[in-house]
Amino acid sequence: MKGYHVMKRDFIARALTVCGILLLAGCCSHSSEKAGYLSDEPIKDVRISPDGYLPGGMAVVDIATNVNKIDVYSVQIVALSPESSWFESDDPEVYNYRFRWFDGQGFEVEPASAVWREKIVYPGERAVFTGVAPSPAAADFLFDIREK
Amino acid sequence: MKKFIMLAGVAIVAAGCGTAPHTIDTTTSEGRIATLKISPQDFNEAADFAVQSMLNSPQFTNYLKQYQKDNDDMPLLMLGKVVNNTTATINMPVLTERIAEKLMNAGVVQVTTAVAGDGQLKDQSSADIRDLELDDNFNIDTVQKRGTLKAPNLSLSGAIIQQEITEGRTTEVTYFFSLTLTDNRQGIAVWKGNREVGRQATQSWFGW
Repeated sequence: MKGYHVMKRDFIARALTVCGILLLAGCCSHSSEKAGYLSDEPIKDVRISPDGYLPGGMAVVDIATNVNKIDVYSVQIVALSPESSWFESDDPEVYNYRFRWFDGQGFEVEPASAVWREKIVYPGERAVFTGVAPSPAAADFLFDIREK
Repeated sequence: MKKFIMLAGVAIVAAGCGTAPHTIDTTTSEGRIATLKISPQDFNEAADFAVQSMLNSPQFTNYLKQYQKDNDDMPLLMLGKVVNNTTATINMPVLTERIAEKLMNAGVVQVTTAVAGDGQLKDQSSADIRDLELDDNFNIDTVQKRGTLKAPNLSLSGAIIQQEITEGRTTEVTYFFSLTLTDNRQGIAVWKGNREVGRQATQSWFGW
């Protein structure tokens, strides 16, 4: 896995801030690992956006990846939903999320298979988002999530 | 009176408003028509769920690995009958063709088009072409020989079941997708997946 991004698309300003942070993180990684020259080696880093930029104030608490017997990647992202407070509703939030997969050269694998899924998350719940690569060619992923 | 006429005019104009046909994102439920009925998005999600579950299933991946080891080939999948136990008219290939496409593109199975269950897409050409041996207009050497078609050894079957309950003005409908992959050598299921899609609606006092 090269890395992943967790993005919120609802608020453009916030999303841009997240992108900026990610780009900076990427630059830091480049300068320290590559020492000023280009290489075919994939950048081995994991990028996590700040908690506040996930929809509904959710925080990523765990990420796990696995490769099964037929070389298919699966990923699991655990996000903690904030507890409800006296001025917030106890109603669950509905999120749309999807995983997009890329091969070793960065080309998207089976773009048509990136279906948005719905998930209902209750306040204080640890929500688990799982994705399975559409083929053994997939080596990297992108996780998109937004409030419905 | 003038105000009333103006308001009535505005209301009539507004009532006549519509939207021009436009392209929608078929990969999401956002902006789609929401009803109690089974929707195109439900099939899309059910197919996606099924394939992800298959590719992540220890039993199915064990079967694939063993089949590859024994035969140095991929199993041949037949799209069998998926029973429609709902009140809706369903073109089952909407679900099964997506599953077949994803499994084929994943490089884990081959899909036969020569034989298929009721309601599935089947290419009659493989059989029709062989009947050309009786037609003098064709060079017999170019006609496909009989006994060369490969029989499937893996099949997809299942059902979509509708359950409905009503209490007062509230109706709840659940669509239950149940799919099975069977290893036809022994008739043993190598994967089973069930998914429920639930919808609820409350009718207004005025019946709208």
